[in-house]
Amino acid sequence: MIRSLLALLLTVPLSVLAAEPAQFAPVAQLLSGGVPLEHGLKLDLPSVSEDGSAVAVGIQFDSKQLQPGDRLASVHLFATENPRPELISFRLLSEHVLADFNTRIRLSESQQVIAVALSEQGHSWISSKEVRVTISGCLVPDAQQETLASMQDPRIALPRRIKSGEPVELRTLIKHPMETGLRQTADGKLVAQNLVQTLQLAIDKQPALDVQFASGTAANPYVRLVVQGKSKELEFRWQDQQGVEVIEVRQLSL
Amino acid sequence: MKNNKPSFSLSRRNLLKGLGAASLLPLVSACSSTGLSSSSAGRVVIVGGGFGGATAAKYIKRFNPAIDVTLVEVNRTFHTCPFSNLVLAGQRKLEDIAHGYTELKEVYGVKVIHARAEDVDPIAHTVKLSTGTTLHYDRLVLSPGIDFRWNAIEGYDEAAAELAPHAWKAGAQTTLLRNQLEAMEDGGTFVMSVPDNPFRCPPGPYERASLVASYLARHKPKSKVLILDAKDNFSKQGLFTQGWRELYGERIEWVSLSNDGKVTRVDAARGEVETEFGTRHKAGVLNVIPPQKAGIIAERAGVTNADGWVPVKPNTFESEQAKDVYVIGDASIAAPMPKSGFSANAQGKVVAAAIVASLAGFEPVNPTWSNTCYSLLSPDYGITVADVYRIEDNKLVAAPGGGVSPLDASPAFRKAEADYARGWYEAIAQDTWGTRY
Repeated sequence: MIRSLLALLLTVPLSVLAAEPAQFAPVAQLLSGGVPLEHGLKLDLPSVSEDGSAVAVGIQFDSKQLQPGDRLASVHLFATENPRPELISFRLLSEHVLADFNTRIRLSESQQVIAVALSEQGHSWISSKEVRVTISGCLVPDAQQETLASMQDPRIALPRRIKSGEPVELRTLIKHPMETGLRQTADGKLVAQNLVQTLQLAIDKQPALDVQFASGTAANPYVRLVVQGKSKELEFRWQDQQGVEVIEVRQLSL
Repeated sequence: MKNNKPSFSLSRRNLLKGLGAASLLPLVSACSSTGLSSSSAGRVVIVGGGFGGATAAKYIKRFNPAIDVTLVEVNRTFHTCPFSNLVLAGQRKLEDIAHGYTELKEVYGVKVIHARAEDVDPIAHTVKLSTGTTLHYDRLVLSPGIDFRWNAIEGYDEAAAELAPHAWKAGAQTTLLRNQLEAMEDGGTFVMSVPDNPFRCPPGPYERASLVASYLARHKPKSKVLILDAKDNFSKQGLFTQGWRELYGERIEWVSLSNDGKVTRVDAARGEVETEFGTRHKAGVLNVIPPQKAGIIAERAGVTNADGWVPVKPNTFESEQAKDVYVIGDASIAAPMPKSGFSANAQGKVVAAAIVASLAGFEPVNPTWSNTCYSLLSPDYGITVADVYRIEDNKLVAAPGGGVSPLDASPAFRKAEADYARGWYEAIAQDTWGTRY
């Protein structure tokens, strides 16, 4: 009898359950009435982060979830308790880019991160994860560290060896402070918003991927992505809020 | 969302409160039997004889000598990571950071078994040892420290660690790295790869860089230290960078994650590393501090999470997954408490109190913990971060009022903190093992 009483008790949550991720306003708006599936979208985040200013996140979509003839159109990441919920989004514009991304996000406190994927035919997938952010008291910033005002040092890493037909993993990073417009200086003044807004990838002159950064994207925006092995020329184009562009071109040779 | 997985013991407590039926009490206690043999005050097995485990063993015995305490530790001598950077820099000998178990055995009556704990059955309450022995416990403490994620960095495995030492567990690895440093030609670069959080001793790599630089300044004036970091921020960063400029000028170079500091491939035989965006660095001495996880026995006991660390109930450090298994020190998720020897020592005392209370049928006390991380930038230049931690909302948090050494302090101030660091080491070693090897 006691056993069953205990079992009963175990089913009663002791604390508040998380809000349904699909009900979170920006997510609900994106879904516009659609009911997302809960399997197929993998969100990879640590359960505890000791530095919310750059939390590594991975997002992967299992393309076997798609109906024949359908394709994935976009992937979006949100944080429920950040001052602004948008973290980053990826618009897939060609078959050459796989839905397999890593990036670094900002989390202002412990909260839920929600990923949503949408297909062209209007299907949707959702995944969420709780991340506890514990700012370590050990962190004493280096006051003399320089702060950039514009984009610098674009970096693109290609694999050392590329095998014919196999997916190619690329890493990209551009140095930029990603000022949210919410940060105050020591004397209480707001630092003006200054974001890198997009990273566009064209493969063999055709638009392939459009990454939209946001104030929830970590400084020095980093994106790891995977393209189909048959791609030849890759053009990366970063654009900041002032409309300044940085363009880098790489050839994939076997 | 708060943790919505209710703990067994909490539920039972709520059940008792909720029912308020005194007549049920004997029945409940009968079925919540701990497997405690009626003749003894309880059997506690502790795995790991470092700062956490040795402290827990001693304090359980101090709080209740009738409890049967067995400490399982593979090494007869324990070398501390704290102060091992001084050994590396030639400021101390390895035997100065060695501790044994004689006092725990002879003064406190702890049974010490030098064997490897190979498996835990949390249902049967048993621990299997490398000697073939099976130990039965009423309460188990795991204080296994860290293990490495071999091959998380391409090319860095156990064999590579013999060529490019981590020295992130003190002992033979410390000696190996020391010998390589001494043998390095003047002009060679000491290259250190530092992992992303969480890892053992957050300020440790930067103290190591400092003390290696102090050795180089005297013995190899043309040599430098290059830190390749998988992070953009690090512990006491402002203090370290200020101290480096003061003491070593340009001798220490730190490359952050965003400046392509993350090492992704190691060629230990050639002493070469490659970073995330393809930069190659050639080392005179290569020190790779690899990504880490809880000591392997925690995984065997089934108490680790997907990240490889152990979630614990903050007030007792009992595992969230296995009843009667307590996990302390570097293996546990205690953030914002850092993975430090001081933290493990403080957690050892709290877990001792929680276990003694639980074996006696009392509620655990409401704990607080303290931690100080001393770092030496040179033998006469110390900095600290000190904090007190407590429970709020069922979470471990830092209490207000903690802090770090001031920037721009005088040399006398830094010297005093370096002296406190040496005093701290003596005191905590005395408190934990009570005896030199």
